[in-house]
Amino acid sequence: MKNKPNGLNGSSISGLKLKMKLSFILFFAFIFSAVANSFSQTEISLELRNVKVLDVLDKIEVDTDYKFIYSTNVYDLNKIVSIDVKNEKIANILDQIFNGNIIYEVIDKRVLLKKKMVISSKNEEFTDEEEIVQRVITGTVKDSDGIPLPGATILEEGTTNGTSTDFDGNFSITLENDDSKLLISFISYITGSYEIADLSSIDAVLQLDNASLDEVVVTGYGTQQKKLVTGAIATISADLIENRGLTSAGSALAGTTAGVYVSQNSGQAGRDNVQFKIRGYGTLNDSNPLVMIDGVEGDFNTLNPNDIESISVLKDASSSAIYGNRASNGVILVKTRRGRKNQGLAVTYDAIFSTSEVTTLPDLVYNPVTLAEKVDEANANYGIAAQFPANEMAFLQSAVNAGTLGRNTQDIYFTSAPTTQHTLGVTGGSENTNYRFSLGLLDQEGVMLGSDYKRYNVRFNLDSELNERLKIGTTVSMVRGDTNSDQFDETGINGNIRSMMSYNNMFQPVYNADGTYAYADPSVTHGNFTGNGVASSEARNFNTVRNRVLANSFIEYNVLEGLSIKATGAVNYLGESHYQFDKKIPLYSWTNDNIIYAQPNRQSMRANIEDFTTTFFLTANYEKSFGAHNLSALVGYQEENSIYTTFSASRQGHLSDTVQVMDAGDAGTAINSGSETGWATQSIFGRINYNFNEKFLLEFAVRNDGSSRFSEGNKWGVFPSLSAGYILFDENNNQGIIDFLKFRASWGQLGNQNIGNFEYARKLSLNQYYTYGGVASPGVGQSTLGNNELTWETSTMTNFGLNFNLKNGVYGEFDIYKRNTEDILYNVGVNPLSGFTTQTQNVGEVENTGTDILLGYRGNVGELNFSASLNISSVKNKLVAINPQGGEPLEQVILNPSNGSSRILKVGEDLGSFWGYKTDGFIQTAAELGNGTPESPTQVAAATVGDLKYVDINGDGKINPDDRTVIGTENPSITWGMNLNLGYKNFDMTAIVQAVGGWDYLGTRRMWYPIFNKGETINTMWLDSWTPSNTDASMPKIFDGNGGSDPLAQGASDFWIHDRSFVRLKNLQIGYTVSLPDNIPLDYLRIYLNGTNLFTITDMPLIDPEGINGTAANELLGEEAEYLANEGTLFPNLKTLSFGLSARF
Amino acid sequence: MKNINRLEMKMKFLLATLLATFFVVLSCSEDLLDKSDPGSGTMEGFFNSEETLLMGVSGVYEALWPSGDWQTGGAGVWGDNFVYHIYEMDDLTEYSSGGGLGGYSSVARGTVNSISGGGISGRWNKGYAALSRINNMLEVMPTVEGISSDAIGAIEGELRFLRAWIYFEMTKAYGDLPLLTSVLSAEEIQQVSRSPVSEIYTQIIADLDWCKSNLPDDSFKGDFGRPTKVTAMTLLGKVYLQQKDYTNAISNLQQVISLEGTKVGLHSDFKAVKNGGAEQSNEIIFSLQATNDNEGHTEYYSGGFGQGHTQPWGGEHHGWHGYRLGENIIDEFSALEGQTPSGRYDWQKKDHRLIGSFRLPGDTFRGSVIIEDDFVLFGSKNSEAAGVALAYMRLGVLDEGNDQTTWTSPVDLNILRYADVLLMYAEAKNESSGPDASVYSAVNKIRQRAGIGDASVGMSQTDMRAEIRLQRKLEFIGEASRYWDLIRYGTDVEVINSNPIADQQGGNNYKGGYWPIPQAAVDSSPNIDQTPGY
Repeated sequence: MKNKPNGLNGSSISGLKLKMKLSFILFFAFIFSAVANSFSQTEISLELRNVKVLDVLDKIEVDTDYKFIYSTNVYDLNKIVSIDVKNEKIANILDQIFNGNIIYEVIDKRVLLKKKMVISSKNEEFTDEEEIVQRVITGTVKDSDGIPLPGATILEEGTTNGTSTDFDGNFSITLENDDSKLLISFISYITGSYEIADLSSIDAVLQLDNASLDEVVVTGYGTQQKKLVTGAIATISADLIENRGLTSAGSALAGTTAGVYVSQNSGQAGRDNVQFKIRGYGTLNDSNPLVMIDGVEGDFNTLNPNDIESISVLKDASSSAIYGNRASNGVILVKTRRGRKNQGLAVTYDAIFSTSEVTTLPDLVYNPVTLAEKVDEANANYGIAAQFPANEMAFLQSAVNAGTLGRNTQDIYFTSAPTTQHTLGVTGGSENTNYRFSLGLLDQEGVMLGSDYKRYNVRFNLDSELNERLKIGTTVSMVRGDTNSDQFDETGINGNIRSMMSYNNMFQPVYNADGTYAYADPSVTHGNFTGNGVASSEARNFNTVRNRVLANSFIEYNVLEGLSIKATGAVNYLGESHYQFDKKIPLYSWTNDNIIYAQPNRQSMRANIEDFTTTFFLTANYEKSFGAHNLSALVGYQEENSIYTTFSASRQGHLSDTVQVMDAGDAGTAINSGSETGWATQSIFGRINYNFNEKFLLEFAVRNDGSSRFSEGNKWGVFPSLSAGYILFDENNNQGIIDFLKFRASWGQLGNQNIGNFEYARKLSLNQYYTYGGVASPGVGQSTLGNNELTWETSTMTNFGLNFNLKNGVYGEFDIYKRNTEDILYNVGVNPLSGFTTQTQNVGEVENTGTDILLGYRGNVGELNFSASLNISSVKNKLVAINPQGGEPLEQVILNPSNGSSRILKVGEDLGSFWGYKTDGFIQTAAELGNGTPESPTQVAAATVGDLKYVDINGDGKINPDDRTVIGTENPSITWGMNLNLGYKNFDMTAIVQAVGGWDYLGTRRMWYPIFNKGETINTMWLDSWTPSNTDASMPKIFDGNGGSDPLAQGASDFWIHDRSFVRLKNLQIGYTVSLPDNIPLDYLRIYLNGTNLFTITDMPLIDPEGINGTAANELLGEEAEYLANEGTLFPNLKTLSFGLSARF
Repeated sequence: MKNINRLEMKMKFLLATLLATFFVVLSCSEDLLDKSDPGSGTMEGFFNSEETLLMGVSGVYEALWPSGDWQTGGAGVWGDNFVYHIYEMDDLTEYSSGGGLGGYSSVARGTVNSISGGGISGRWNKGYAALSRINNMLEVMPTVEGISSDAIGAIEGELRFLRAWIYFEMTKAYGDLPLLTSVLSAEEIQQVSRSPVSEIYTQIIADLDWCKSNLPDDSFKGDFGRPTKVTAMTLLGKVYLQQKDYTNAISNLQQVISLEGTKVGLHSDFKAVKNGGAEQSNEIIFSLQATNDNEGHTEYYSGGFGQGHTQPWGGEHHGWHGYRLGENIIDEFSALEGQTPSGRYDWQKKDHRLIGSFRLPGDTFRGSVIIEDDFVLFGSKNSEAAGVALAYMRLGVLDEGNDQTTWTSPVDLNILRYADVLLMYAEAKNESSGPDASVYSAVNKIRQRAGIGDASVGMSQTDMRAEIRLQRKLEFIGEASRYWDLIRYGTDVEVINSNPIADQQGGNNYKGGYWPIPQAAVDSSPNIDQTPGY
């Protein structure tokens, strides 16, 4: 607490040397300083001669934590003063340098300097008439949520006349001129300009300024002033996320941030499946970024969007290195809203009422006659007799004519559906404690039959300073998500979406004339029961409840000046339970008296999953300034421990639909199962930030990580990073139109441990029963090959960047990077002779190069506030090498080659490359089959006129697997977005455009194998299929049989490739803030209209271009999903229109 | 002041606690990362007793033939499978035309390639998966102490028997094979190339000779289905016969025949042998065991009635009806002794094996009489397709009272049975020295059970050859025998391409020779070449 002389002791030689390098401000200055804890007690020593007042303030800011906020005209800050005090209170120093003409208020660490209102002697000389001209304007300053901004500066334009707001955001200013304008500013907010005209009061609403350099950025285990950041960190403020009628927070990021690709992969109620990719796919593994919510790993998508205060995206190695083993795919840091100190009690209420419908459904044939004709066309193509005789065709036609058949079955299953969301927030703060409590309710009707979702969010955030040294805080959130999806199993991918769109109710109506469920007797459908999805939906209840608790508490102790220790403990709990009951719903044939049942047996199933992770971390922070040298250091320890257990049970044969409990089932049919797994990590980490005079910036971070996911001896990895920045221009030294310019460079290494929990082990499968003589005998078999040599996957990332702000309101960021990931863990195909088809090995090396560009403008024309930004990212990923353990380097790995799969990992190519044949139209004449075009023995046998003609790429005269090549990629190479904000008086408007380009979609099996089952319909594209009389067709000969209509390639040919690029109006919002009279208890009210996914420009014909497939589907939902997604059968996205209101009391 | 002091003390205590925690967690949680897999065991340490070794043996069957059916997520029906749709192997004959699910019809059509799935790749993939488990277990066995020599003989014998059988089934299909008899490192596996067929047979015979000396006379622990000495001798006889080593075939098969009446014999009811009614009889020398138990393997339902027929059992799953049989096979069955059949489907007056092998018009299924119109393929009637029989395979479907709702069946898959021993012996003996009394004896036992009386006496070697081949054809319908027999006879190309109903699968263009191996096997092994011709 006492004086602590620092290294700049004026009498030392070093001080003299140093001062030569210091700016002129300190030319004659000899400095001693000491800092205490609170403003009233803080004492410092200063010895400054012949310096400006401004310089004294700067010096106090450097030596203490306090920042001064003042309007430049409150006092002549260029006035030259001298001061020589020892252990003097700041207050007294201020009195001294301002000659007592300034008063101040302290809010947190900010000191507001205000002009002392003195009765001007000049005033006394005014006449009465002149006094009338002296107008007093009162008003309030609030942020866009209606929260008052204390300490905002109000300046009368063109004068030195100014004031600032009080704790409640109120101000009062006496104008010097009549026809004047007020400029209202606040740190991190866009300065507002207000015409006075004949107003007597102004209620100013300031918008957050994303380009503000004073903004505090959330970083790993801390915060940093944006100006001083040396890594590549993007920030997204709450106003882009909240109030959009979205059902999950994640999707709100789409199109907002350079280098972050966000895709919402499903519109199914409760299963938005939002995925993030930061700077592309850098690994063959899980490439999802780490999401930290208030410092603890959490689930972004179940957050209530209205609870989010800010989001930081750590894109490069230096910003993420503090997260070491988890961070190679980047990190998303979410900070939830907390109360502010000294803020009165505020109650906020947000409500959104939306209606949604699916964006895109495939264009399918729904006329059974047309379908029957195509089936018989397929038969005819291969010399098989027609299967629909004339009388059946006539029957079908009469049913179509009568309106019984031929209905678009998509209309039966998909509808537009409402969603309501309500959020109630209570926020406030006293001198020592601040809090926020929120309740959220989301009630979403599914756009698909039998689906809905309800979500309840509760969050409680509290911080309290127990005394000057001790601070505690807690963050508790609970989410309960309740999903009904009668048509889906627990994975949500049961494929019934396909059935609904293409399979059900082709050959029968939904209901019979008497209202019972209908089914088609085989005599009509030739043995193909096409299903009645409405009956199936009624028969099956499938419900999933997810309870998630994410809670953490911390205690922070300020050991001594600048040094604090913080311990945080957190739990992340997910309890998931599934409930299924199949009722015995009868279906009556609509053509005879037969009855069948939608589900043959009544059965009930319950499954529980518990996923529980505890996190503990301890950090020590040290911050100290030595003159112009500013140092902060962090060391920490962290451990995480996670267990995952499952249990499920089922019974069949319930006696009634009404008694659905498990006990009502037949005990003899009981099946149960359970499993358990887990992982743990342990880490020590540290970071040093240094800057010289906020001009030269340096950061070093290192993390030593241990993970249970590796075998003994391979558990630990070290991940260092280094970054530097140079601020060429800033507010003290700017030039021309450049207000601020910073160059950044960073290098670092990161790890990825996101593989299975025990990939290294030779695991056994314990349920390999075999029966001897009819008696089950337990069996055990090795189920994975194991690999004791597994080690870390390491990404080395280099980033160069710059940030600039121009005086005209233009700002920007530019980053160029290269990420090289080595030892990529991948479940590579191994020689099947090993008895296994895959093994996890450190095989791959991938290089990502890319650029992220952000260009923005903010400004105002009169009362029109305007801000716009454009973000563009391009990323090129390239497989550099595949080096299997103990084997020769490979040129390529064909994924799932036994299925004729269509993807490849090939050196020099994109990771998402599609692998297949090139085609050149159709085989038009028999001559092309033989000598005319080179054909392999395979194709000679299989291909006939009208089939796809493959290109003999290697020119060996044969078409065989050697003719495959890269025919496209599933990874986008360019993404861009545009954000636009307009504010005019009480109106505001926001628009977000998202665009993705340079990627392809490989058509589904439903396309190349159109008549898999005769009850299933086909895409209308097939109406133009090749026949001898339609040789100029757009589709090849339709084929029902082995191999479909792409016999050799099995769909892996460029004929089925579609350009997937799209530009989408992701969001459009128009809001109006209601001017409220003072005499009602409502402080703030804004109403708005919002549209999501309003329109899309794309050439992609089959699915929503944003929809998931390929690797992304596999990563998110597993192999089964990849298969279904590749069939285009996952849920399309939603188009949503919302009306909302935000109120504050 | 006092309060402040107390507060300071509290704070110091807190600080001390924080720092202490810091050091405690650093020093004491070293074992946090040493998690063992709580969900399943690992190879290290699990196998430590006779009981666990037997579990490892059971695990081999799982690799061959995954349990569960497609509806419950298993791969037993549709996925990779060593014995994939065993009855569909009849597609590779002159009387069946498949829906192609097993992939065998692609061999018959000549369209088979390195990415053909089903049985074409499953036989390789699952074969090596099972061989890996076998070799693993053989390597683990010596490390387990305190096992009786009986148990070692039985356990190692079962493993070696399975290894021999797998190699036999694979070399018949693919010819030269990578020969793996121990656990190899990834590096060693990369160097493996295909060994010639002769070396594969040398290994098969070595394993079976070991089994012959070490396997017990009766199933170990009384577990029906575990191989015995008889099982080993039977397979050995079959292996020698396939190589036309008649001397060794005869000696092994004779030893089996000498046990007739004690350990082996013909079951009196042929139909029961086919439909699961004689699963644990003396006739069954080796079978793959199926049950409908959740914990067991299930067999794929074959030859039942699908949804297209006229009977009230429509809509439920009674099996696949996606392939067709030719009238030519029906016509091969002769009249019962002393009977004159009125027509093609007069099965009551024909060889018992006709109704034993097929469901035919006039038979009953679940209480209803089957009529002609019940035989449909994808909605079109068999009766309207030229040359197509009104018949479904019986094999794999239980009779009355089976309320099976999935596409699975508990009927075991016959691999070796005594009828095979008799006919193999007859063939070997006839080929080596012509039709002597022992040949007649063997053939007549088969004929008598079929109800068609003894073979006519005084046949030439050629006549007897034709008689034996006919009896094999009629005896083993749907038991994956005919194709390998045709190859052994050297008539496979001619016979398969003569299939009168081959147009049902697009026309036969069978080329003979070995099958292609999966593309993945070639892609991932520098020293493994594709089968010539693919």
